[in-house]
Amino acid sequence: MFPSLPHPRHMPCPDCGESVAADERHAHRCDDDRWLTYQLFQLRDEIASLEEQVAAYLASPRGRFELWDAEQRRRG
Amino acid sequence: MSAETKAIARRLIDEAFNGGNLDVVDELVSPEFVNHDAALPEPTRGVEAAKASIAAYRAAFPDLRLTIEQQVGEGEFVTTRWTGTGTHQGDLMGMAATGKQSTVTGITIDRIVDGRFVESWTNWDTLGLMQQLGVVPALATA
Repeated sequence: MFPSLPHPRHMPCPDCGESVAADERHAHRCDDDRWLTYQLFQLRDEIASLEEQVAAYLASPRGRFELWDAEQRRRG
Repeated sequence: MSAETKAIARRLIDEAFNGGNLDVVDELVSPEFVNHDAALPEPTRGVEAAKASIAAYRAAFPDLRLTIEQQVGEGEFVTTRWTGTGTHQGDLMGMAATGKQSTVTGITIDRIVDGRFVESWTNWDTLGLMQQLGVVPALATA
């Protein structure tokens, strides 16, 4: 329908984010480190949110009790 | 003359854009500098604006790497055809970081007088960048 719309010569791999040339996309294989870095980057807001939630829970009366209880168990 | 202007243009790319050394902008850019960037709504002027522009691109793409593909010089003018690659890790023009690596091409014409940039005109693949970052949809390829 829009045959003249441009398409970029490079596009990021949807799994690892690496910039891949159009004529190389079929041969592309994700580097493990880049894949992990990219996936963690996509989840950064959730990770930050989770850490905040954990911190808030541990600061609550129940969380503080669990911390105290865990410390008692650790001491045997 | 053209060899000198080419070297100056190359130095700004290597040291400022790629290396993040903004002090070199003070040395190489005239206070009367006017920059015409296709991605900006109007020309920017002066040394500090040039620094701010480079800093903004480097903040968005901390691993920014401009590769010079070709240079053609004539008198005060040097044309540089370049390819830019970087990972989008900071805000760019309101676009939050995506973590995606992008590759764009562009052509810059610089006018260099007495060893300093006085005017630049850059056209680069802004649409391609938007598509690569997912801001503008790209057509599926066959």
